[in-house]
Amino acid sequence: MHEGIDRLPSTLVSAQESDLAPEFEVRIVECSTLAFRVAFSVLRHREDAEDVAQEAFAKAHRSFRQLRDREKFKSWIVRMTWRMAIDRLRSNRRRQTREQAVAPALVTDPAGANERAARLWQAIDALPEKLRIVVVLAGIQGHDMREVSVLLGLPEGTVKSRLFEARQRMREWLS
Amino acid sequence: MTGWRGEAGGHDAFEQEIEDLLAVEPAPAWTASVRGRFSAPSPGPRAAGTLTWAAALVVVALGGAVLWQRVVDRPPQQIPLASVAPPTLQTPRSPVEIVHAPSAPSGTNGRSVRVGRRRTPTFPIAMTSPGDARAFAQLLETLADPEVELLMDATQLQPATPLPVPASLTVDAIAIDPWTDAAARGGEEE
Repeated sequence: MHEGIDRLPSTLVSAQESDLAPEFEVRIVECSTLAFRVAFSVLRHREDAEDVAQEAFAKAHRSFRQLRDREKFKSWIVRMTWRMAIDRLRSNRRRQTREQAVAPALVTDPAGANERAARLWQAIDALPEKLRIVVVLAGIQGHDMREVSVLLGLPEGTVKSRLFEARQRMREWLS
Repeated sequence: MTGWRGEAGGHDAFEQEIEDLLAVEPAPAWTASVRGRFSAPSPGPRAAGTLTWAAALVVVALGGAVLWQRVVDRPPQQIPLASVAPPTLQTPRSPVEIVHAPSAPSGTNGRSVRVGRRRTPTFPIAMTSPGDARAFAQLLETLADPEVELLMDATQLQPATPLPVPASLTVDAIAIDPWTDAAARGGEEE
């Protein structure tokens, strides 16, 4: 399940940065669930989400000297995880197209088994990307608008309007 | 969720559904693996690079030592006689060149005529004039004639009789008249 971690090169953790290891570990504790949920909201596949989140942490570790600020790290890891999850999803779809898989492998989590949940996911997936990430971040860990605006590097007013528009579209979709 | 509350004025069931939908926890083993992976000190890129360079230097040094040992321990080479080309006498090529300038056929009317040029075979003897070449060709024809018998005077093979050497050699003095202007003028007048 976690074979992706074993594939990491051993050079990711450098001796010269060993003094940063405790600090990075704190960041992992703070952001691992957030990164996983962001990836899962895109991929809807637990193992893929874990792989993507772990890869995002690997990238963050390489640039951790520039990401030591707590807010900056959180924002960076969220956006990086989101981008990598989108890329992974496209890659998975291309591979499925090539292999002509019949079963939808992406919807394997028990959360998607519920019909209501499946419809909610469909409503989220129907949103444009810029609205979708706002809904996802606002729905994770109780983020308020200020936190979402910090995470996305957007003005708070922009986040507010996007969230309103996203809610409207989702309600229309579900009704 | 303050974001939803602030916009909708309340935390309704729809917002709670979204929260529940996204409340997926990662596996505890995964979290522990990631934490252990990035918190464990291990040889970094600089150390790995140093090791790589050290290994490369050792390999190069060993290769150089082996090469040097081979050069030093190489026995003197013995060249087989068969491989040595025998000395050859380089003879000059014949400078004689016969150029056949074909006569233009009557029907060409000044059109271009290809001029044949044939180089005679090389001779082992240098001949510098057409007369020598003709004489040598005549000699070869004579030798090839079975009716011709070459006779050689055996007496001519004896060494020549040496000239008598005088017992004494006397050199007589000669007198030379001094050079004068009158003589010079007379010479000019003449």
